[in-house]
Amino acid sequence: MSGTWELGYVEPPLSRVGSWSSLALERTHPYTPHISYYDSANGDLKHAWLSGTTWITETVDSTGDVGWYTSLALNSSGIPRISYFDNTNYGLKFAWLSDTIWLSETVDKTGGQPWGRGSTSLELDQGGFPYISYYDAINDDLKLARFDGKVWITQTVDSEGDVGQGSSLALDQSGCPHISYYDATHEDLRHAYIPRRPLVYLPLVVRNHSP
Amino acid sequence: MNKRVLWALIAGPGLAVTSLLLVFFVLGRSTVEATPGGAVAIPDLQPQTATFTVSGTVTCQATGPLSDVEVYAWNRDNGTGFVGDVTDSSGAYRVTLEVGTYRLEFTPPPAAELNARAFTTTQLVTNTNLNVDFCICRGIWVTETVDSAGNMGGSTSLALEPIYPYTPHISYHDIISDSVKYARLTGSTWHSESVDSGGWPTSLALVPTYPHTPCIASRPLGLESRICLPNWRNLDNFTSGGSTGWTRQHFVGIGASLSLQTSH
Repeated sequence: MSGTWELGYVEPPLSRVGSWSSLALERTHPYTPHISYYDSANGDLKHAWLSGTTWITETVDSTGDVGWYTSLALNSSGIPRISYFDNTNYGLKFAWLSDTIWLSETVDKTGGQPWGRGSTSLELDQGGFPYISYYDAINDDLKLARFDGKVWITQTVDSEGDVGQGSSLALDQSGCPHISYYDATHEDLRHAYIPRRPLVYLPLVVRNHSP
Repeated sequence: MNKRVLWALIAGPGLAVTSLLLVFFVLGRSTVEATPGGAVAIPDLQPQTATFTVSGTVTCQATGPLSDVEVYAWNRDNGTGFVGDVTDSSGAYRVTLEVGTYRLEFTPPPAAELNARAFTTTQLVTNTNLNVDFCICRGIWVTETVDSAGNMGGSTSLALEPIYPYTPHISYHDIISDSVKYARLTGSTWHSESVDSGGWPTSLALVPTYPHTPCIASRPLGLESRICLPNWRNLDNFTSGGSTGWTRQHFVGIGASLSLQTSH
């Protein structure tokens, strides 16, 4: 890894945008970067991508004060999906690009204001279905939401004490989630995962046999 | 030694092995022999045919039979695969395969709880039917403490290596010393070290190719960010405690998010 850094503005200087940014690259050349971020001037969620040498920006969601703690992922076609926090209704939201129109929905109305302690982390599995780790500010729990193609399924991952701030989610190649997060009660770094191995493993070999 | 105890020690395992032999002999008219690596080899007296069947049930230790589990057969010889069957309400499946070496994958439906896949590699060259029963773990979260030395864990970023065992790497914030730390799982042990003094990490990414060197974007105090790269480029050095520090590159900006492409 060598060379020099090229620096550039996505939006004009002093635009008061860019908090809670999240970046992902398309998988093939020219590895187009996409960024989600919060527009603190207007309380909106925004998306930017590089077209040639020009950054294109657009507003994804402007309903209330939205766009906190964004996390962006691209599907296999390079289409962006974004998880974020709705600071007006205190809920976890998910936005996706359908053709040329951004759509969004509330995933979990947690009802709590994390006051800077929140986070969302988005990953897509091999089928393109989203998984989101996030902090439940009412119960102080780490939670995970996933969309199975029909409905959102939420579950509590860890509820022992005040856990789940600053979470980061990744899926392994077999689709098993791993989450890192902060345990504020014990002031520890923690890791949660679902073991991928089967509980019983039976390798078999069958072959011809001459008596 | 008491003769009754001695007989029990000999007869107990012997009876179990005999029962196992009988089961396989009846099902496949076969005998069983051990192979290196603990696999069970089943020589068959039947003539070789072009196709054969693998059948069995998929179960879960906690809930019993698993339905709607997709059984995917990947032919290791020619690199092709297909969905062989989907388990019924009793968890039963049946897959017809041509002669070859296969990896069978059992994948529960998305509507089930979070699941892992079960894998097995099976070499079949006869028409013997075999029962292969698996137990798939279902949505059981395991949590563990990675670092408890002080006040650790704010602003975490996690990345997994792309191949098994999908080793996790985490960058995180040491709140007391206001510094950047890094942890990596080696076997069953987490190793951690300090990366940068002052500031907190904002994003971690791994180089896609081996040795999957971690790169950490961090934000020290002031209007700048940093990219931190370990001076050790072979992770074996890290696990042996041979870290020789991290190299930092500065650039303007606050709160960086990092991603790497293959050529970088």
